[in-house]
Amino acid sequence: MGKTAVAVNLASSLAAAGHRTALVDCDVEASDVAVFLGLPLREGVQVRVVQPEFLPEKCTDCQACVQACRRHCLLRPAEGTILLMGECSGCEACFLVCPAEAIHRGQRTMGTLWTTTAGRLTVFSGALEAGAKESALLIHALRQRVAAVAEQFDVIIVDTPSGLRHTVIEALKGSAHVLVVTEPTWPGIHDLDRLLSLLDMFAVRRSIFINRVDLPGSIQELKEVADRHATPIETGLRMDDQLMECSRNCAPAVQLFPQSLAARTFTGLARNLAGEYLP
Amino acid sequence: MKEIVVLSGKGGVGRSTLTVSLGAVLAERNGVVLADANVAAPHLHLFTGVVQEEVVESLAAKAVVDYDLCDHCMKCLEVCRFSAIIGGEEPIIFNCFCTGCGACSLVCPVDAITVQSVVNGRLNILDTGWCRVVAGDLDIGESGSGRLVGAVRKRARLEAEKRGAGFILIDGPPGTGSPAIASMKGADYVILVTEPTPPALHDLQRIVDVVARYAIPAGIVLNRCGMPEAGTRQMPAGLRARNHDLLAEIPLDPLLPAALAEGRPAAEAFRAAPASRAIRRLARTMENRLL
Repeated sequence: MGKTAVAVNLASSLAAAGHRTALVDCDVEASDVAVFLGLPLREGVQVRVVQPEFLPEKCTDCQACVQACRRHCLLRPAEGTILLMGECSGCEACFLVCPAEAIHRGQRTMGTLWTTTAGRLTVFSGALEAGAKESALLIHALRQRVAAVAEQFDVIIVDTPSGLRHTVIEALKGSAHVLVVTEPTWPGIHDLDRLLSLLDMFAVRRSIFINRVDLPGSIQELKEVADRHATPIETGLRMDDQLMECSRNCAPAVQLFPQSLAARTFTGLARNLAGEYLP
Repeated sequence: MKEIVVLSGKGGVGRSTLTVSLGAVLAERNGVVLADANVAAPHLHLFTGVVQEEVVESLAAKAVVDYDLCDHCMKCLEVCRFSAIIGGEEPIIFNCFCTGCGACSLVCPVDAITVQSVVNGRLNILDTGWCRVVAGDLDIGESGSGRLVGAVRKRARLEAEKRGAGFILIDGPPGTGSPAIASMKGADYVILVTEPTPPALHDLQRIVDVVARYAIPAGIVLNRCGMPEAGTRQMPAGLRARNHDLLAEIPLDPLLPAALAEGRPAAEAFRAAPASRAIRRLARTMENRLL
């Protein structure tokens, strides 16, 4: 839908207008905000999840941990101590039931977090480790990292993950406004309806950005869905080769083509949102 | 029966559009079952002429509080590692985040919490007229997508066996996490779709690294070419592609979104379009490799 392109251009516009801006890339399974901006990622901080390590000298062979693990990850072999076999989710249920303190709090890396600053724009990003599954936990850690320094910023823009999983809720928790990026294609309208249904549950303020308004589909249908969820349409953009050119050149439209319609649309969007929410 | 999964890392690079067209071409000579493993944003049911045949509810384990027993000690809140319990007067389980691990029930001193099976999605069994579709549909905002993807693949295998289908073609989710892993594990081949832009190639590298962990043969499809990089028949610079082949280059073609708007596979709707011809060649490549 072009969610990241909108986030990157909106954040760049806000920063260019003098607002101290944080841009948080919560799409930790496909985090490419820094790539879009041509910013390097340096000095990543690893985020870890607890994983049990069993201490044979303390284990009483009660097997309470084996019964507690609902993922059936723990195996007691015929000889020797408990083995972690499957995919541990880090729930720590085994620690809660062990009567002998026979489990050591080992750790496993689930992802890496970075912070990169360029002028008034600071990008916070995270990347899930290859093979790891804890996207929601990593997004939580990323959001906490931003929350700890939130005072340093006038505005925080969050690029959420795609798909309506719990990871989206983790990314948008606590937001003042959700900008829903969609397009007038049937898949676009279908996803819009579902996302707005989710936002209805949270009663959060929102508006719609229609990307690629000239794609074949139905603007009429899109507007009906928006009306049904009482969501105003903020602005939109036509299909734009210059935006493709931007992602190829790793720079936002507001920098690369400041006179383009796309750049002016994003600058206007930034001005509207700043007028509404910033002092 | 061969299972091919289509993945991309980045979303919006044309993965589902390609999957449907590839499925339609493969179905001309082989039986095909399509599996929609993008359970958090399924789209395959949006195609024209799709008829719903059956719906199967999908269950997940979730913690349930019996408030008649709960004495509000809030020990459950302390032990939940998934922020699935909201505090306050009494514990409220936020189902979307609950993994059903049962840690809360283990510490509850009055046994007020049990882990129960709750509906959190469904399998839609569909028919397009030219193939069966098994589509996973996760309830909005839910977790546990990996498990649902597993159920989708299991049912797709059953449908393929019943029909003697040669291929199961799986439309995978974007990203590299739980549903992506569940959609590729044990598959015969991974088609990695990307477009020639740095963000798409960056995300492609991430999914390439995950595919390598599971040692599944894979090849790359460059979508939306017709840009400066097109026609080079070379792996994009900088991609550590672990010897994956470049399977096809599909030109940027306005007929693809036009076919989507009509709800038809592009390779069927516009057979002579350059993109359709590229997809047709891709189908022949897959037949030669896997059959």
